[in-house]
Amino acid sequence: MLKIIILLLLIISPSFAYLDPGTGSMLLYFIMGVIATFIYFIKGVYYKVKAFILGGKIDKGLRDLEGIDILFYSEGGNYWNVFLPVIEALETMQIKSAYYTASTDDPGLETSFQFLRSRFIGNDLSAFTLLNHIKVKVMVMTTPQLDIMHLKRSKYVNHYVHLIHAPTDALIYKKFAFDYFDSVMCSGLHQIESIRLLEIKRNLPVKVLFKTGLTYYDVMSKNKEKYLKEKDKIVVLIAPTWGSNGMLEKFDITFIKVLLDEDYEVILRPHPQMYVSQKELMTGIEKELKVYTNLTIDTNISGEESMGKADILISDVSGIIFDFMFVFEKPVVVIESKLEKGGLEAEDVEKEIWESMMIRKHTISVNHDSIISLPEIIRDTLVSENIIDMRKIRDESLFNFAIAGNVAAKQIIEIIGR
Amino acid sequence: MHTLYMVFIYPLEFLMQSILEFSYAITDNYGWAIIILSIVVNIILLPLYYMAERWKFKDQIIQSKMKIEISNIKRHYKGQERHFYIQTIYRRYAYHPLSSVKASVGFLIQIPFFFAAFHLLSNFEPLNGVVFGILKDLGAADHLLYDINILPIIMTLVNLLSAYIYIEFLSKSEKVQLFALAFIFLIVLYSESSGLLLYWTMNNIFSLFKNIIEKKLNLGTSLRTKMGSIFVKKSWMNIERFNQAYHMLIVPQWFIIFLFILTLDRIFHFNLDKGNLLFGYESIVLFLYINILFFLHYASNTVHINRSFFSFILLLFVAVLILIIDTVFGIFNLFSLKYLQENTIIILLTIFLFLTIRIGVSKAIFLEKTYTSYRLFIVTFISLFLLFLLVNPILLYGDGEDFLLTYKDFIPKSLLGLLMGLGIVSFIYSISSKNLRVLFTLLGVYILSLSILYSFVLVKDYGLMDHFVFIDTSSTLFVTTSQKYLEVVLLLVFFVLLAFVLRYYKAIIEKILIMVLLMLLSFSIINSGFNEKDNKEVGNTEELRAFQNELNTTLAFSKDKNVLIFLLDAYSGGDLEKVLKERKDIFKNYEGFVRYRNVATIGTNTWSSIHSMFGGRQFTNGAMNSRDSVSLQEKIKKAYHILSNAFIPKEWDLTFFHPAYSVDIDKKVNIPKFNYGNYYLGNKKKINDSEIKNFEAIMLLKLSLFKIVPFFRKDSVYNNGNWGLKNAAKRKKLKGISSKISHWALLNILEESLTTNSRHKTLKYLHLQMPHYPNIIDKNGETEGPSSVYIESYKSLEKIGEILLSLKKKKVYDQTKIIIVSDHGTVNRENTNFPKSFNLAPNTRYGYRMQNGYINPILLIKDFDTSGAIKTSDRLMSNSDVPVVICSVLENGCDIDDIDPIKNDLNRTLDVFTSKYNGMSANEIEIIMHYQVKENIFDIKNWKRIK
Repeated sequence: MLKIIILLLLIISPSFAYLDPGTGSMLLYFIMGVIATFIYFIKGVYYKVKAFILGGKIDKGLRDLEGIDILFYSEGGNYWNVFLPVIEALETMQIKSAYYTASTDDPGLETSFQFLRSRFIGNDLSAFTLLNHIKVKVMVMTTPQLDIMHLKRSKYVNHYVHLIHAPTDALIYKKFAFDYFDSVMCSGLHQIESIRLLEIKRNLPVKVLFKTGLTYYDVMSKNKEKYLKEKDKIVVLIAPTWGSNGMLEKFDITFIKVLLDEDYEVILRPHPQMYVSQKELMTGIEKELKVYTNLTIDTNISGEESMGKADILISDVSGIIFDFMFVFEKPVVVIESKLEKGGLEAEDVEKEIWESMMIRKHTISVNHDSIISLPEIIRDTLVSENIIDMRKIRDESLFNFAIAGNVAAKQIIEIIGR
Repeated sequence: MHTLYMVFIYPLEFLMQSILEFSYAITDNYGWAIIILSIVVNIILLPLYYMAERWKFKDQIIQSKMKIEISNIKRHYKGQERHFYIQTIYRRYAYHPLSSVKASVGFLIQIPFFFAAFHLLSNFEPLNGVVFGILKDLGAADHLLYDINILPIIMTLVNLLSAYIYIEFLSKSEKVQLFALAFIFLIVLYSESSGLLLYWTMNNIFSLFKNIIEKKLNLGTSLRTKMGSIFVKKSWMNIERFNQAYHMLIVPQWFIIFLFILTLDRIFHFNLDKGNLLFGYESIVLFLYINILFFLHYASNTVHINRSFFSFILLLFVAVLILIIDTVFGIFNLFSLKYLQENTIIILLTIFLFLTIRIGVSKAIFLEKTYTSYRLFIVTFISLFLLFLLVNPILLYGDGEDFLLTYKDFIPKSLLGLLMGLGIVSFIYSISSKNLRVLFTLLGVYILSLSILYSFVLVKDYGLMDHFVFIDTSSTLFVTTSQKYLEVVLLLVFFVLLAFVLRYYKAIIEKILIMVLLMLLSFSIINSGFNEKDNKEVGNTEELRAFQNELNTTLAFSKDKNVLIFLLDAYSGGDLEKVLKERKDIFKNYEGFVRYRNVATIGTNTWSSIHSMFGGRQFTNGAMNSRDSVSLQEKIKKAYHILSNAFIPKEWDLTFFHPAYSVDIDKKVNIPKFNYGNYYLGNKKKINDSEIKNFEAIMLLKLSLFKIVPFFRKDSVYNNGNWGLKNAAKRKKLKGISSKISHWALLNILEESLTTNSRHKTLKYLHLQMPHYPNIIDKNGETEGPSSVYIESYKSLEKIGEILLSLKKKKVYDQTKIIIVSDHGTVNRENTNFPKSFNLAPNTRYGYRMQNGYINPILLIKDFDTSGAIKTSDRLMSNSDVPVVICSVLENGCDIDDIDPIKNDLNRTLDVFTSKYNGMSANEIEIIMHYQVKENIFDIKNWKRIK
């Protein structure tokens, strides 16, 4: 097409014939450049206009946090346990902070903390409009990709902190997850390594990387005792992840039936997203397994109760594996699955993803052929329980287990002090 | 399209033509001139070429680095997410897709050069028939081998070879494109003139050598092999060094030298033989230009300064400033310039200014540490001042109005003003804070861009102007309120855009502005009137003698035969009717005259009629447009040569008084140059010429300002005939500036002093601005009292009557054929010959030109040896019959096709045109309306609209 345009240009205007080889290639270059720029420009304008229209007005009362230096931003109630230990620690130190959430049913909105101001700021683009102009010294959040998508850095914020809310590798995040934060509160050494590699690769300024730990483990480890109950049967927790990679999609459910037939107590805890995007599959499974009385389907927001009850976890690659190992210190069986790097940070760095390493070293892997023999595998694993020293692995992979909230609070205060 | 050409191509073409003609002057051979042109243009383009190459490679390097990341993102994401991710990558590499366009800016700058070369050389008349080596005719295709053109083939071979060397670095598809391009050139240029092909072949040879040298120096290879390396900057080092070497050869330094040589050349060319090189006008202008050139030069070089010297010069400058202010406004009368030679003062001022500027500049540079910002600032302001003080006034000066003021009066003043302005802005700049400097620069660039935009691109046609008043009052001169608001908004948007562009693309803007400045500068230098022939003032005895000589010729009649034509501009037939009724006494002197009543004008303004009144109906607007072989200027020139070609060989003395539109007229024709008003009224009443000239200079600047300002502010410059001149005295001067005084004086001088001592037969064609607006001749024949079109109508005929009496007294009346004619009528004149209902065209923008007042001009003819009271004839006549009537005096007539309508009964149809003056450079006359009339013009049935 371009060639035709150039040819036309040449024929229409004979003066274009005054082109030497260098100039000729420049002409081509110019036309391509103009077209590319035009498309890029139009797109940019479109998204900006969209954000502007949907963005709404800024509530000045929400924007100016006078007297408060710390703002926590949460995308919703499921992150409350991530922030809670930090907020508790600040409360005991009598330091004021604010908690803005994008969800109305966030438990953070109904607390009795004296030094916390919690507010709902909307769950659409208007929340971003506010946050993009917010005035505060330090902003702490679990949302990645600052300054990439609609959530931009505000001119009036001195320091942006990302509070990591999963033990997973930084490389399994989507692109540019931490690039424009000033600091990241990491849960383990593997995250620090990955982030540094990305910094070098992308020639980014060096961030402050804190050895913080996982704050929600503070909460989880406290609650753990509640659920540890005596029982007569072996309890198996099956927690598949959603999407085409999940085991329920990949394999038929015969392996669950085998477990149920062997008289194991089975808790099936599908990923909440499965009821949204794979509804048909779920209703089919529920119908098929209805006859079994030794099966429970867990749809609670928190999986803690199920994890407490279970003796062993069967999962694919999912965050729950590490909660089960680190907090509940119980063994995990992982059904064969592969981590896709496509579109993720891992794509840009030559490094084995931490999850892959952990699964390879510290879990029992089951592949497609041996899935039918799960009952035996589980029995063997539980018998030889002591082989895997969960605490040792935890100490290697995680900072400040069960006290991360306090550490994080001190680190935030350190940032303000700078 | 024409405007685009005028703005972008014409200046370059002009420059190229100057180089070509300059080279021709040196080599006396157009072949070599074309080769020199090619080399010069290529040297000028070379840095642009390298700049563009460098940008392009820089862009390519970044793109190749981003490529993998972007393709990964494109594979996994789409829509908004993809866009935001790609945006992030661009941010990290500090890349903008526009930078690939920026990489092509250098190329874009070259395009106008291509067009200019094509436009210049494909139709360059002097090339016709020029032999160069084996080329038999540079103006035609070469046909070297039978009918085959060899030059295009050589050109293509060179092109292919050049491409072969260049493509080593290119991808396959790019290679194919280049070969395809070479092939297309061959087809497109195959049958073009060999001059053009010579130029283009030379370009390709130049390009070939460039590529070979590049390759020898391993410039390209080193650049491209390092493309993949991480530290991009290092790979540019080579080209940077190369570029520096070329930088010595280029804009603006080279251009400065070129302009300097051009200026010198002009001066030598016109002045060497006069022996007044040192203190003449040209040397002053040269001094001033050198100052501007040095300004440019200093702006692009770092200079050290001496502070104490600076303060000394500053004091001197202040002293000079006070002196000038005092002289202009006469506050203290400390020093009267009258007692000093004006030229000496100018030279002294120049020296002071030169030093001041030098110091001002170096001071600014000193404070700045880097000179780039000051350069942008000063380049902007030189351009702005040049445009306002020189370029626009020169363009306006050439555009019709009659000026007492000459180039020699206003160009030194403008240049001086320019230099003072520069000194002042530089000084302000040097004492401003950094933010203010940025602001000044931004404002300067903004005002300059707008000025250029409004001067050359957004030109609204306000119709003709008559003595600084727009004739056309029927159309809305200015914009409506909603248009005003729209314009203001657009201008604000433009300002914001400019601020943005200036912030990120300062270097490019700077280079573009330097180009603009050089264009303006070369235009000013070329048009500084070095070869101008002015209206000479009667001053010293030498000039007085020259004037006396001229007067002798102008006033002398032959006892043998004379033809005397009075062309009374804008005399309406209706007014003649009225004068005939009310002032019968006037016509007692008009013995033997026939007054033609049924006359249709050939055109309804001077521009549409005058050519055929000199050359007959071969030179009506329509006839001239139908001949497209030569330029408009050539055609008009021919019209003015019809009479001289026929009469001069028969030993007639010809005098053309005040011929309209300055074209080349036969050198043997006497064209009075002196201001007769000065001479005639000088005895009775002193006309202060310098006051008029000052006024005219101010008017030129006002017009320039009017051109520059946005539409919504134009009415604050000009409002309903008022140019913001406050008192009535100045309005009077506005009238006083009319060349009419000179014309009225001529009639008086003729009456009082005509002689009969011409040895040759005489033909006098007197074009008089009477009763043309503005009207200043009162009923007593004075130039100050109340007047009107009608008063001037009868005063002019009365005065002519007195001249007739003088002719009778001197006994040459019977030997003189006299024609009194007008080129058209004027607006709102009653004419009782037309029925009340007669209305040819609606009273619109141009329609009013077809009103009764316009279409019926006057025509009175007296042949040799006639007598008796004035008679009236209803024979259908046209004012374009004048040439044939004149030529009937000669036995063989002139080289015109017209048939004498008086001696023959013709059943004819006459044309009437209204056309627009678009300047001489237009290709043809723009006809607005065209009518035809037959038999009786006073009957509307006989009129037919053609266009």
